Amino acid sequence: MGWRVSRELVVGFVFLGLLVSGLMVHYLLYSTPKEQNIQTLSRLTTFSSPSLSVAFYEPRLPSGNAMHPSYPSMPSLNKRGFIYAQ
Amino acid sequence: MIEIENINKIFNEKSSEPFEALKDITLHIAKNEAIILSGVSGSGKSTLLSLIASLDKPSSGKIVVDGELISKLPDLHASHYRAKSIGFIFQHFNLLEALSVEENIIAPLIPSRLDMPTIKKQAQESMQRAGIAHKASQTIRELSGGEKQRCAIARALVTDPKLIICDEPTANLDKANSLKFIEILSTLKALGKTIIVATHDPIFDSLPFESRVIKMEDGRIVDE
Amino acid sequence: MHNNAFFHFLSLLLFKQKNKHIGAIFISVIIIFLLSSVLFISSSLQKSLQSMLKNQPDFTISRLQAGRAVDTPTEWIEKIVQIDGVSAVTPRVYGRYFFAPNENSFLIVGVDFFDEQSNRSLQELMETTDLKSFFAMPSMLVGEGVQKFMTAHYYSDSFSFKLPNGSFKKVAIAQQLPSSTNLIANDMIVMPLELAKEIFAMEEESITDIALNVPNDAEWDTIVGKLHLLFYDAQVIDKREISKAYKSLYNYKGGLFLILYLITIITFMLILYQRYSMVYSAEKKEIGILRAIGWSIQDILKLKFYETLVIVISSFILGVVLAYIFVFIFDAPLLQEIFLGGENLANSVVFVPTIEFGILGSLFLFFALPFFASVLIPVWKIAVTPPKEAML
Repeated sequence: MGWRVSRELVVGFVFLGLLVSGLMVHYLLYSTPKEQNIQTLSRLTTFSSPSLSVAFYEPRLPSGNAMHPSYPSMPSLNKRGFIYAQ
Repeated sequence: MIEIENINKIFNEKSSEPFEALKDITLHIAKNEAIILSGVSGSGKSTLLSLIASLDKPSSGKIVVDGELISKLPDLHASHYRAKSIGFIFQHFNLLEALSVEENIIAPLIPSRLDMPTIKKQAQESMQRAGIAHKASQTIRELSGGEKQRCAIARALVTDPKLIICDEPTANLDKANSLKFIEILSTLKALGKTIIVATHDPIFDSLPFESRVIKMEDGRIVDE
Repeated sequence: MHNNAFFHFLSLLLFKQKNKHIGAIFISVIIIFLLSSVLFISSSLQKSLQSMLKNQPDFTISRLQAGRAVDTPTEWIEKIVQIDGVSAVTPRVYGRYFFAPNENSFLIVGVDFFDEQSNRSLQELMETTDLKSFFAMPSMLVGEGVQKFMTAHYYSDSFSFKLPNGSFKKVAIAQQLPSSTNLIANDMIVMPLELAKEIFAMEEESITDIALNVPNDAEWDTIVGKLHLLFYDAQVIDKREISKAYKSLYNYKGGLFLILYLITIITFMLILYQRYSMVYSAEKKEIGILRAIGWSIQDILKLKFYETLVIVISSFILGVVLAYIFVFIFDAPLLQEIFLGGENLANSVVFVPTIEFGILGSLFLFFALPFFASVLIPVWKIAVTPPKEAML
């Protein structure tokens, strides 16, 4: 009786241990080719700045471009592109 | 064995309506004696049992069991006293519903320094004595009233206590099971245990062993 | 031996009362999952950016006019080369090309492909591209975001850039850059240096800025001084400043993240309190019974402590592992979009596994302490009540 129940606890912890071990194995052996590409490109271009969408995060509005109805040539109301052009 | 001197118990002492459950109780109980506390509900029987079992503390007075002043024990010692010396059988059994019979019976032994094989052995002996060994692996929810009572008895006996305290033990039993219970009490008396039963069941008027009846009313002992 | 019996009883209670804990475990796993995912994403982005910085030039120098960056004259290169302690002085040409005014833009980077190192890097990146045809006609390499944009606008093989003089320059799309470079190259176009200058109508003797290295960091401040003395209208940016900017980019301590954590912890405590108060009466009876049969307050607290510890550790591990899988194996599908934002071209990035154990440890404490408090304080309150009262 008791040993069976205690075994459940042990099995639970062994399972968690396996999860953590799997995680560590993945972490330590993560394939570097993916990392290497980005390093190669940054060496090639001498650029490492994050692309615009990474550097300046603005929430994506589902409505897309909010154009001013009376002045369509005006910059979009929900974008700050004029700053980022610098 | 038990010396109770000038015990008073007041509930809600600091409120506007304090209730005096026990008033100046003095009582001496010898070893291996069987005491029946009789009286209607609210007479203070259960309160007195709780104080003897150190489940609560008196407002004044003292209780000495085997030379030890138990009415003023700090928690650790009071728990130890309950675990070693008292086997309490509650009116509503007070079993752990989620656990099985055997698991309920081993519960009092867990804080002791015993190892599992010893604990299991003691539990098995206790279950045999109470006649519930065949239901060891069943959960409490699956038991009948009589079986629950026997489980509660087995739990009370597992630590081999000197003092058995029963609070309205037959209140939730039919006549057949009540008689079985009295048989068990008889066995325990023969084994040298001191027994205190609080009850207003007339079945205790004619017991197959020697006993002393103490009548309580309104928090006092009115007849001995 | 004694502990064996205790843990036996502990595991009994845990498994036989699963339902009592399932709710709390579920909520805990979700909260830890969310917090860990946010943590993993931000540390991964930071780590990637910082690690790329190692390969970057120590300084960039550009010309300012009326406080605005303007094209830098190439003659500056000769003067900089003569400064002692300076090496790898490289001209850079780059700029933003707007598809249409106030619309999406691309970062065009011009590279001198005839440079040996650049040629090698190009070959490493573009294993499948025929380099001969790449150099035979105006060609470019585009980032994933650019490729998607162009395809959406029906430019599949080439794109015609509108030059400032009103003419068009057709450039072939040689290949898309690997998506693992999206972090920096999502909106990037890489092309030969002269082609980039042509598109931006830059003068022959002009470049955008100059990159240079100063191997001895102790000399950095001196070199900066010398550069300012040489060119009064120069803007010198060093790597340290860029590193600071990256550190604040997804700083988990700042602004949004702090609010997120605080709200989460408060919500968590409220939910736990509510959850455990629901089982309060059952818990009270259970503790009362144990007390009545001889368990001391200490024994009760020990039992509940270990019970909570098992739940806390299991929830935490599960939450963190799920977050790891979500972020580093599936690249955080929905959460990524919150982080990367919608400015310019939509990006999707591959996250490099990064675990900051110190922060995970702090997260554990922030999670575990309120959990323990919300369980053990009520338990203690019940345990100190006379057992008779507790059993009612």
